Amino acid sequence: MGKVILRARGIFKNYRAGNRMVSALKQMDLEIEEGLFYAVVGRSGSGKTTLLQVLSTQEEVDGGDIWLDGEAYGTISASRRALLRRKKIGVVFQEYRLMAELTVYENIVLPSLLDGREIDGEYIGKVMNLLEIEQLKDAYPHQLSGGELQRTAIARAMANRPRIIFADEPTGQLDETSAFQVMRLLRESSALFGQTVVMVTHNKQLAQYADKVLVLDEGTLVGGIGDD
Amino acid sequence: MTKRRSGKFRFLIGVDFQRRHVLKIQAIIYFLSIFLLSALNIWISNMGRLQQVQAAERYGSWQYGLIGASLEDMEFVRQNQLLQSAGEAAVYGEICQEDGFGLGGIGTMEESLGKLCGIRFMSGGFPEAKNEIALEQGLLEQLGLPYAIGAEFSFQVKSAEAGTGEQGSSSARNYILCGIFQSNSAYTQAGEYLPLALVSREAAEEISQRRQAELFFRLEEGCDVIKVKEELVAALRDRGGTEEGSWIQNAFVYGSDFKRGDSRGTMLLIDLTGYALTFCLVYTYMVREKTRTGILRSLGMGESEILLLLTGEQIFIWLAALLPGLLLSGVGTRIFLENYIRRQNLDAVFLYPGEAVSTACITASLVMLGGSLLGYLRARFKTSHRKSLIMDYKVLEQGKVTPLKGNIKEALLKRELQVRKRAYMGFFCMQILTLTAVSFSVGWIYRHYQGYKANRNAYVCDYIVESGTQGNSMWGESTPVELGLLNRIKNMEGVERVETTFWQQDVEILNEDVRNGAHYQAAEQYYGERGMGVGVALFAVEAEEEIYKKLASQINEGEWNQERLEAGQEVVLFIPLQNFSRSDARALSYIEYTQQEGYYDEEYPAWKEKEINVGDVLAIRMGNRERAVIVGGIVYDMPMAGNIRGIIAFNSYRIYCGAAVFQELTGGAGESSTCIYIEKGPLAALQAEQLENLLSESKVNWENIRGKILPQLEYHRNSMGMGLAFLGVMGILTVFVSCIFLNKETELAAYKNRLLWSLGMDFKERHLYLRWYGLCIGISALLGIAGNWAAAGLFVHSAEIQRGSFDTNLNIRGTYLLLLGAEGLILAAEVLLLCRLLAKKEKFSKNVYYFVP
Repeated sequence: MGKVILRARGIFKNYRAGNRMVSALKQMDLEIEEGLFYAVVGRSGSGKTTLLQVLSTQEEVDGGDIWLDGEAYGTISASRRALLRRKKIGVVFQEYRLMAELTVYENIVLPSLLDGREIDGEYIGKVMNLLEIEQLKDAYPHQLSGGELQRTAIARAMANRPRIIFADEPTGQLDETSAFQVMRLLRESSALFGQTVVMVTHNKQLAQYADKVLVLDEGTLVGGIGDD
Repeated sequence: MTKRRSGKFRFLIGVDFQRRHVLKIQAIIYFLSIFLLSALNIWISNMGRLQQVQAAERYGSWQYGLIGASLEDMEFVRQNQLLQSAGEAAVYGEICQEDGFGLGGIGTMEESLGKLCGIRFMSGGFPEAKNEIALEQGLLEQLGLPYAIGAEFSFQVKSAEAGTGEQGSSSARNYILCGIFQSNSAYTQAGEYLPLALVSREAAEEISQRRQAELFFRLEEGCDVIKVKEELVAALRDRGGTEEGSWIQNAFVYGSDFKRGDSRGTMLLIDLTGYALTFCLVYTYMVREKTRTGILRSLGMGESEILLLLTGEQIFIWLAALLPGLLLSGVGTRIFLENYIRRQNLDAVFLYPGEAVSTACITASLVMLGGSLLGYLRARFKTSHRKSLIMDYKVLEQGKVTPLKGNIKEALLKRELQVRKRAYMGFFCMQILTLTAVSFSVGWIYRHYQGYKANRNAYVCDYIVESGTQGNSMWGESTPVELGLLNRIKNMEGVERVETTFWQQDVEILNEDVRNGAHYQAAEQYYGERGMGVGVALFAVEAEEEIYKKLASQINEGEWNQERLEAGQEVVLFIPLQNFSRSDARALSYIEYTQQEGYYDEEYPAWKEKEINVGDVLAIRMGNRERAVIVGGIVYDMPMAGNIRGIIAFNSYRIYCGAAVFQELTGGAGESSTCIYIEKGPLAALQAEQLENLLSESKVNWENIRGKILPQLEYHRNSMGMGLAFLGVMGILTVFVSCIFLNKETELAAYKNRLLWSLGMDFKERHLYLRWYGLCIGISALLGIAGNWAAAGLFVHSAEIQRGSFDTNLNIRGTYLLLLGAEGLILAAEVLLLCRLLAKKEKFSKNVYYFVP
């Protein structure tokens, strides 16, 4: 077993849906190894997105705790969590979430700007080249196709050289060809730059790109494929 | 870090503003809002000033003045069918000093002109007999004549042919004083053309056979005054008569339809509308911004950074819209207002654009800032913390949460404050705003109630009165009075009381040392350049204890000993031009003057030079009466300061003495601030009639007396109505918002209480916990009250000080006491209500969907 980069212990999360209480995550334990590509699969409502959100610090757990690189989410302040998100975490959304008024290039370098660091042109160029969006650098999001948008979002997530990238159904809005292209590029680039990826998907074919597959059912981790 | 942050924000804000449509629209809407709010505020504040001027009756009700007209021209104009009323005045000569220096015109005036031009007799009336003369107050003082109706005197009259340049003959003439009319009239637009000494036509024609005449008139309601004037001018020109340039106009009457208080109500409405619009705009913007801030948050921006970004963005847009908005509103209103003024023949209400624009700017900014703040808070805290907290309780009750183990009360409170911090902050801000507004309204109503109450049963005599009553101080109309008359009024049946604050009369200081001192010399020069005397005023104080205390508190050397003052043993000397501050705007004129004359340098050595000490003997004189007094105390005073001294700071030196000294030196005449109160009840009319008869014997113009009180009553009534209306609006809003807040509190309370109960806390423990909760609410409320006091106090204080009222502190104290009581009750009720809600167990469970049985 490789080095564990992210660990969750006894985490649970509840939501209220109308008058009903929903337990999205139930007392879950989880370990993510560095440099691997994880796919989280499960039926709709199984808690995949919630898991991704709590792991990527976008949501807080109701109980239990999560450690990234040995730092526990529950013990640090909100601003420290934001810093963690900025420096060590990259997020890719299903609906891309690009800034409409920024160009492709500006969107990609935005995390670097927010972090106040020098833009590494060589690295950004490599990423863009790898994701085949170099020629689109001056285009605005409304001028791009779905696949191009998602590749831009992936490039943005990789811009700060994060330790771990969380992707929430990154191919959910793409046709089959584009989906596989995006998946291939995500796989290749993360492997090239040694980044850990946790991807949520309900597409079992796409999940085959992963080194390990985690299966969720009703907020509980019921098993994994590729476990040692 | 700072550098990084500023670069980042510059990028985000700059790029956003260039490329984001929503921000451009927002900037345009801000610009339009600022423009409209400022323009309307400028308009209304100008109209407000118009009303104030009207209320002061500065101009009277004439519409046109025909200046330097011949008898034939005036007669021709008088024949016009549209003339509602007209009055004529003519100058036949000039009253002069022995060296020939002219002091003012002498001539005739029709009584109808007095009414048209608002010329008011403070004492006596128009001359009826050939040897009678009525004098303008300033002229009377310049001539050094006593304030005594019926007094006989003589002075030089020169039959100067005004406007012809010819020198007439000069001769001494004897007259009996039959009336004194106020100086203000000499400064009005009409007044500068009118004679300052009035005699009968017969007496005037003895001075000269030539005259320069003026005709003032008013046309029938509803006619086209401009057209009529043009027709008259054309007709006169055809006759070879008066040129157009010799007409002056004042169609001020058109503005008289405005009522005091109306414009402020309109302004309130406009400002509330602007507030609501800004609120909606910012709220909509903030809701739309959620996606964007979500992206930024996912990319690692912290809450504070996002808040800073949004704030910076809003400030940027605000500033980008503010300057052009204000500029356009300033220019626009100037163009349109002036055009409107010209078309409607209103007074030049745009006399003080800077003041109007700054008021408008502040009002518009505050309105929009308030709207923005609330819109922002509403959008930001829209996500229900209540739901989040209910979740917590649910989880807690299921026993699944480990972090809250241990001291459950502390953990609950901590968690609740953590989750609901923003909600409490919002409530706290709302509380401050609401309490400030409510307090201000209450204070406003209180002050005007005081004014109304004071006027309700008081006959404020302009014969005697210079300033009004509590909360209703007016000044600028110093009036001569006879002590004997006042004593007779005091003894009248039905007169409840007669309140006099100050008696004032000009005297002369005889001490050479003082007169040769730097102060005195400078003051003499200063006042001399303005055509005034040296400026030494003798004051007798007949005041309430409160006023004495205030005066005594200002003493710099010696003391204020009322007993020795009243016994005539001592006086207190107020020496101006000492210790003044460069920052005091009101002293600037002195600083400018002294800079020019070389008196001023950084250390003010000349002003600090000591000329008199406590214990020195001060020799003073008025007319042929002289007296020596001992200086018991000295106040180094600042001229025209906006405090208790301000109202009496016109003169240079002021000497405070007892009534006996005052009477001895002045012979019982002086200017005063007096109010006569008549007992209320069925006999009030009879008593008023007796007073009228008494005053009539002294040739008081009873019409003026009776007329003076009514506008004051109306003003205070309107102001109270406006305050109550505002309070009503605030009340409805407060109830509305509080209902929402308390409703949410109730739901939480029910669930929380249930939880505490289920965890095994008994009533006592729960109550202990609830007390802490109540304490938190109480602290926020107390802080709100403190903020409110500061804001209301500052506002009311500055307003009162500007009014120069004696009753500032009394009123403020009364207002504060009222506020303290009211707010204490509100606070107590609030805390009790919340505690009660929290302490109830099942009562609220019926309609609470999340209740777990």
